[in-house]
Amino acid sequence: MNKRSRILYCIVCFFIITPLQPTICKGSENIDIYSFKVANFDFIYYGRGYSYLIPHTAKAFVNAYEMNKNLFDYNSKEIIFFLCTILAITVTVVR
Amino acid sequence: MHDFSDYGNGGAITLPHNFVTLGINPFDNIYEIMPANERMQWLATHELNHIVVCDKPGKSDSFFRSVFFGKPINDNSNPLSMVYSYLATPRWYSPRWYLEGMAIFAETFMNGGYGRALSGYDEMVFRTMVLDSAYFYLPVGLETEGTTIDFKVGSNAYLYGARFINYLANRHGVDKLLDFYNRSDSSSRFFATQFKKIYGNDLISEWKNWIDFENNFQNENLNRVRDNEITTHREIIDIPLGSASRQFYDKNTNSIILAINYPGELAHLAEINLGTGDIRKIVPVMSPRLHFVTAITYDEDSRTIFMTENNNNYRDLVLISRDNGKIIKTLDFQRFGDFAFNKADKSIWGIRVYNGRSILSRLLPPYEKIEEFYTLPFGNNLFDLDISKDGNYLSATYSSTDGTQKLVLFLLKDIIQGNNNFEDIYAFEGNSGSNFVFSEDGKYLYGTSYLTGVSNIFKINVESKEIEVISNTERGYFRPLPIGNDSIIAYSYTVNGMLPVIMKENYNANANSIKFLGMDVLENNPQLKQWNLPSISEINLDSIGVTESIYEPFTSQRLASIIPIVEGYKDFPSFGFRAKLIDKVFLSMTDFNISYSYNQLIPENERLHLYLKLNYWFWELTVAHNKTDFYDLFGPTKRSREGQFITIKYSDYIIQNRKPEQFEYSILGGAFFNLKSLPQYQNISTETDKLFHLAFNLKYNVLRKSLGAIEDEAGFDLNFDMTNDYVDQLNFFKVFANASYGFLMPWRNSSIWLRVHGGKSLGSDDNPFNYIYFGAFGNNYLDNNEVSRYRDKTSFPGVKINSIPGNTFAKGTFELNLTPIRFRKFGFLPFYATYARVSLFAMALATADKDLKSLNEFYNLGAQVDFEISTFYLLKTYLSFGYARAFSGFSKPNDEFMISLKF
Repeated sequence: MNKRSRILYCIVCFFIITPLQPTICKGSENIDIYSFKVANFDFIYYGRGYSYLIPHTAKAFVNAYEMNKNLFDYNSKEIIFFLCTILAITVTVVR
Repeated sequence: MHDFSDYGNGGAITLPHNFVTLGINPFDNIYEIMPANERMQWLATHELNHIVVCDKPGKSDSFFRSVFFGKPINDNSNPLSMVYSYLATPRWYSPRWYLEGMAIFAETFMNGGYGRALSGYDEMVFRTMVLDSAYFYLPVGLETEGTTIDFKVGSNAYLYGARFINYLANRHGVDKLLDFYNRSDSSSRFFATQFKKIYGNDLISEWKNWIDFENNFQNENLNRVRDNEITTHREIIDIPLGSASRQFYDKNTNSIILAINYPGELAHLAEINLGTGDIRKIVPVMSPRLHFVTAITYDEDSRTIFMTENNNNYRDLVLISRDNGKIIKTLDFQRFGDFAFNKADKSIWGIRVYNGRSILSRLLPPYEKIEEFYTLPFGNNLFDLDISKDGNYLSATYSSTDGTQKLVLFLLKDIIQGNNNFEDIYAFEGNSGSNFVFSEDGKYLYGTSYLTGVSNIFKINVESKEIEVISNTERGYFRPLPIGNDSIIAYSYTVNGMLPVIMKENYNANANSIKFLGMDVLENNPQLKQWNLPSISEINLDSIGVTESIYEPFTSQRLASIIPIVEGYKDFPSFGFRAKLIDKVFLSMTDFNISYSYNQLIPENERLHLYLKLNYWFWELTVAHNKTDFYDLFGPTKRSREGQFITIKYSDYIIQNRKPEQFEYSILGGAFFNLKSLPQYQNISTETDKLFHLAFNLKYNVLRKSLGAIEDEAGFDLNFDMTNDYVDQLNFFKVFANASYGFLMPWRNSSIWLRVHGGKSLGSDDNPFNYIYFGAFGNNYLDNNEVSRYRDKTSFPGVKINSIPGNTFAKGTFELNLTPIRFRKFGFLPFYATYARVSLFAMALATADKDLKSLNEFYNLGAQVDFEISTFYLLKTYLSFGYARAFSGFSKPNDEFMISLKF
């Protein structure tokens, strides 16, 4: 790379990277994620704003789970996780 | 659980572990498509049914889960994982109608009848199909064409599924239905085989029996409706509009303003002249909702349309000039919709959603700050707002957690003073009351309800609260709008969507009740009453045991599966294992491959292969030693590489959650050791100990699809890339840019794209690293990359791969994508072709050396046809055939044929 190309490279990088700094620096560590475990369920949620809903939702799922389990003779001990789709989920299909 | 969308929703998956997503905000309450009571309980019944039905293992499934240490995900980087995934979780690979049909059945009867198995909307859809002699799809055709052909697209799978399951329960009983779905040790892994085992008839024959039954059932209902005089109307236009928003009448121009979305067109705001039926497009709706497009209201004095955008995320409010379609103002992320316009003070009233609650709110001119007045208790909602012409009253439908709905009236000045009392106008109990609007004099409210089972128009006297039906339709009327003294504009439902009609108010209308298939099911299966869930107030979480903590994705990774793999290394197979670790919510993931090549032709130091990929939030770390690739076993393109490398990549958004607009970037740094060919170009040899690579990508696009599209059909896509390779103490810096612009053709799902690529390498040395290499389609015989690879910057079909070097280049592509041909029946239940699509392209490529002295020009013409093939419903593969002829100066033209099967 000659001197001219190197200068051009630096200029282009500067103008592209600089406006992105706030985005780059924001990181993920500022995002708090909470877990609320009850029975076979682990409710994972983002932000305290709707934490008021978690116990109610947990009760609703415990209630519905019993009926579905009984109807289909389902006795798995596997935990069922609940969460947010904040980022792209790698699995392609959601029913 | 999340608050990332303004509308409630749910989803469930069972691979690699059981996982449910919950959107906490209210449903959209449109046309009573999803009748529901308390939405968390309602979602729980639906989503947990998916988990139980898909996850319950039979004996052989349990065996394979123990062999694979879990439930493998279908990962197209190694198609063997598809087989393993099916063996461990076969019922996940079932058609959508099958899974949704049962979940809808469960949601309805576990919630006291509030669900789609007992829905007036579903009855209307099938009644209208019979009335219009519409085609009933068989199971394969439903998947291939039925879920793409009309304005309802994917929701047809829910409609057909719910109906067929209702039919099975009605005819054969609920016990057999449960046996059909129960994955017991003696059951068959494939759902259709299990169907024959339980019902003694094959699925297709029974499906045809259902179609005959449905015709009879709906004809009986139509006869009940016809016992009274049918309301007549005049069609304003002769083509149904698919999905349509609320409409507004402008008496000055005798036209209606609305948003529409129908197959073959992109969603847009439109003005329809009532006299001529002419449609004028005003402005695109970039992010339409499926059934109501967008929330709008209209100020006829200033001729301003208020509309929501970003409808699938946090909604924006956009002010648009009706005359020229120009955006006057945008208020981002207001989460404000279901508008009503107050003519008296020009304010907009609407419902704002936040953290799962609905808030009655107001926006005054100059439309900058929203004021919140009344926060409803969780689970209750207000929708279909309207304001009387004098600006004194606000009407709305109020839905409660018990599923009941009522029409209510607020005094606006009371709300502003903090008094949230409202007056009940009419209780619809278990039915919906929708779309109510004031008459010009404010004395009446006109709206629709399924009170008789059919969505008819009702008129309610605000003072006396008397209700009268003023229509009797075989189909369904929606969104009535009184105009003049005795006329009403409304939508009439057709199989192709909402048709604007105008009718005379009928004071003598009578309407009979129709039968609901779900009611017959309940009468014939009284045990369904036991399905009704008890109150959740009886559940004490503390006695069950609650643990609360902070969730950390990286340390929460657990082993998801270990599977045996065969991969390709150059031309030879290698054998080994792949382990996948994943956290509970897919924010952190580790893939580790180890394999060994036994062939003696491979040097001993290249026989062991290791690969590690770690994803954590926006970061991706990859480390490899003699990297393998499954697809190198099948075809000319080789992605396996000798030597070692380590790369780290960071990807993030600059503009996020604003689809279809996307603005993102990525930065990648990597070191490669002991290379024998270039990382990007397999046929370019090099002998270098060390290579350091830096790459930066910036991408901005706004890409749109019309209903039923198989890929993006309009919009633009801009990319900018910079790379630098440092090798042998020399830097090789390259810049690339490309721009694509596409637009929709008049025939359905067909588009034209113009693509331009350009690039230059700025290195000073005459070294292989200082070039960009072009050639060939680039598809392997078996592949997992993009099907339309000819769109890549280095692809040039018609010549051999990597055969055209250039230091500087420019490439232009003209591309015509023809309408996909959908197959109603091309295959059998677990294996069938979905569509075939032909693309034609022409390219011009100019390359030059670093001094721009020696210019070479190449041209080609080509075509590619792609068949989508579905195996076990979720496993999509693409069989592609391509041909191209390349020309260069006076040289003899070159031909290339391509065949590829993409997983």
